[in-house]
Amino acid sequence: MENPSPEMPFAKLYGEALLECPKDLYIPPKALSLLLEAFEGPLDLLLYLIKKSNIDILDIPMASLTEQYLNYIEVLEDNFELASDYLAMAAYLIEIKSRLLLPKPIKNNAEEIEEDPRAELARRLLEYESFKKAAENLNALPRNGRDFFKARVGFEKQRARYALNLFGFQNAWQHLLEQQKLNAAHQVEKEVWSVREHMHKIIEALEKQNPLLFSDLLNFSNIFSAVAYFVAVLELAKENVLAIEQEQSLAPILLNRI
Amino acid sequence: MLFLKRLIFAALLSSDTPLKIKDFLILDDSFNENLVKELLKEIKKDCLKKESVLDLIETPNGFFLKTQADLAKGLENLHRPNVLKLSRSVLEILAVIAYRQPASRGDIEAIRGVAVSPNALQLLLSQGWIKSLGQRASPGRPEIFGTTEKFLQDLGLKKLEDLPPFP
Repeated sequence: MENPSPEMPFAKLYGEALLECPKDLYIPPKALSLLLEAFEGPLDLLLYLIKKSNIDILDIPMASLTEQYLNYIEVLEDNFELASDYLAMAAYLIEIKSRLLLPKPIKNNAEEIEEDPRAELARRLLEYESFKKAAENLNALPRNGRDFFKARVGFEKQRARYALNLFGFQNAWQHLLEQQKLNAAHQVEKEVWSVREHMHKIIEALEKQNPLLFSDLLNFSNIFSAVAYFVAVLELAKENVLAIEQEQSLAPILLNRI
Repeated sequence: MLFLKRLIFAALLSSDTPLKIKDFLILDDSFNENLVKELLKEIKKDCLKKESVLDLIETPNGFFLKTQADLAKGLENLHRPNVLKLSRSVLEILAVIAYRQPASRGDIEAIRGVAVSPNALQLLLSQGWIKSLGQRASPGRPEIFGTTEKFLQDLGLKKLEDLPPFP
């Protein structure tokens, strides 16, 4: 970054000329840190630097690449989460550079070919580049829910259909009417049969006719009435209002007012 | 014959899940495996016509009908809220697992040079695209992952070999 010349004011603040560039103006650390977050990791950053400088990946100038790399990750010192992976790569780059500087050991065996220390880095970069491309290819594949949708229609149960003629219609109407008859409603009312009321009726009857035939009291068309009369007779006998008498077995039962 | 073809088409349309050959056999007494395959082939041919809205896809989970790819541009406006966006890191992790399975976290980290975020793995697991294949019999017994049949189904692929060739 070039400093502005001392004669030219860098900027004007409240009318006063600013001659010096504020130290934290150009590179807000967070900004570069954000830039780094756009990379998927140190290999991604290295690939970017290599592409930017048109470097042959199989013949990497280690010194310049390492320097550019270190410039980028300088901002990471307060971002430990990101830093470790990037710092490991920095150490790796420096290690490669230093191994390149070491004098080569004297070869005992002429057939043994010394591997370029940069070969491993190149292999990793090429491999990562392949996977980057593979990821893009996968993303480009038509995907369910994004590029196509599974077809799905509702399933409607089949309804039977009949051809209708006048005769059929008449039949159906008749059928409906008959059904209606079977379904006719009728109201059931609850009847109350009071024993006390029947006791009064018996006393009244006894006042007109004494003795009274028990069978005359009972009206078997209504079982509830019969039961009520029977209980009423027993009640009256218990209270000594009447006596129940029978001349012999199976003879008519007589009620006598006492 | 036309009825049977229509029957298969309707079964594909009305099913929530992909259908396998054996699922079609219960549709009609006259069906056998060869006949179903023949009719599916005819349906596929119908789908290749220009005016067709649907395409027949075979995946490990069975056959299903999907909307044609060229209709996606309009349809995505309707379905946009449900579309899952996958970040670059998630896609790269998926790529490593897809092409190098079974792959452990370590394998992924070695290739990408950066730690694998648990969230990214979790997203792929919950999407049903990857699953744990157990542990590798090596020091640390790392958990290894592979892609699922749903992954192929969601990409409309029949088998892993149908993935784009590794670059």
